[in-house]
Amino acid sequence: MSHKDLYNPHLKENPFTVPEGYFEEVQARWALFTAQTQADRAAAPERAKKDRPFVKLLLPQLQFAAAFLLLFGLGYLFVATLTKNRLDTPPADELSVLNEWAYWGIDHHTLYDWVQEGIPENDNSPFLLDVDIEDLLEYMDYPGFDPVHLDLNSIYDIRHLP
Amino acid sequence: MNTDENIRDLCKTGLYKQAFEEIVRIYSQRLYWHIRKMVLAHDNADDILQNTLLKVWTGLPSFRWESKLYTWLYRIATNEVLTFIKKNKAYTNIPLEDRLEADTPLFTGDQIQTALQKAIDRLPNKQRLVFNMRYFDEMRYEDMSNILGTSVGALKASYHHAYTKVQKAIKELLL
Repeated sequence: MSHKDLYNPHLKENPFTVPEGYFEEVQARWALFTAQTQADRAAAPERAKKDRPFVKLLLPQLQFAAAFLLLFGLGYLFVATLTKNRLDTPPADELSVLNEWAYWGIDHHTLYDWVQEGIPENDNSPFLLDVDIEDLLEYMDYPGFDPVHLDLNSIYDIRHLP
Repeated sequence: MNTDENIRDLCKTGLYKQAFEEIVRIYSQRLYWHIRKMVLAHDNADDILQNTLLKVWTGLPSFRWESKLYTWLYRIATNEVLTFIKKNKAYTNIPLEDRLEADTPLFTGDQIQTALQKAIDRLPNKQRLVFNMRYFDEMRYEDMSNILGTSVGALKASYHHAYTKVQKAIKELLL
C-alpha cells in the first residue's frame, strides 16, 4: 500500500483544529441565548396585557381586512378553477432522458454499471458520443430513484412507449 | 435510556430549553466538523453552525420525531452549508491553498493531507458531501440517504466515482 493510497489511515486523521475552548464557548453561548429567549417569552404576556387596549382598538379593522382577504381568496380560487383546464402546457417529463436513452437500449441498470465500472470504450453507438459520467450521476440524483432496486417492469413499459 | 430518547422526553414535556442544551452538548461538535470539512475555514464553519443551531432551536417544538434526531440535525446543517456555498461563490472560487493559508493556525495538515483536501475540493458539492460523510465519518449509506434525500444506489455510485477521482488526483498532485 502506497502512502498516497486512500487506505492510508493517516489520511483519515483530522488536519483541522479549533481555537482553544471553542466548543465550551459554543455551549455557553447557546445556554445564554436560550435563557434570554425564555426570559423574553415569560415577559411577553405582561407586555401583551399592556398592549391590549390598542389591539382592541384595531379589532374592527382587522376583521374587515380578514373578510376582504377571504372574499379575494374565494374569487381567486374560482377563477383558478375555471382556467385550470385551459392550460395546454404539458407537465415536465422527467423521464424524457430515459425515453431517449431507452431508444438505444439503455436502462437504469446499465447506467449504474457504467458509473461503477466506466463507460465501455469499444461501444460506438451514436448515443455514447455525448454521454458523461457526471451527467449520469446527476441523472441518478432524483429523489426516490434507486438504480439498484428499480422495478424492471417500469423499464419494460418505458422501452415500449410509442 | 439513550440520549435521543432523553431529548425526546424533554421535548414532550415542553422542556425545550433543556432539550436544546442537550442537543448542543451532544451534537454541536459533530455538526461543526461536518460543516468545517465542507467550508474549510473556521470562521465560516462557526457562522454556519450558528445558523444551524438557531434553526434547530426554532424548529424543535415542531419536530415530530418521525425521523432520527441526528438525521434532522445533519439535514439542516447540510442545507445551511449548500446555501452558504451558493451565496459565497466568490469565496469558494479562491484557490484552496489561499483559503487554507488564511486559516493557517487551524490547519495543521502535512503535504499528503493538503493534497487530499485539494483533491476533495475539486469534486462537485454533492459528491464532496458524499465523500466526506462516507470516507471521514464512515456514515451508513441508509443514513446518508435520509439526510441527502438521494437513494442508496445513487449514493454508492456517487461515492465510488468520487473515490476514484480523489485517488487519481492525489497521485497527480504528489508526483
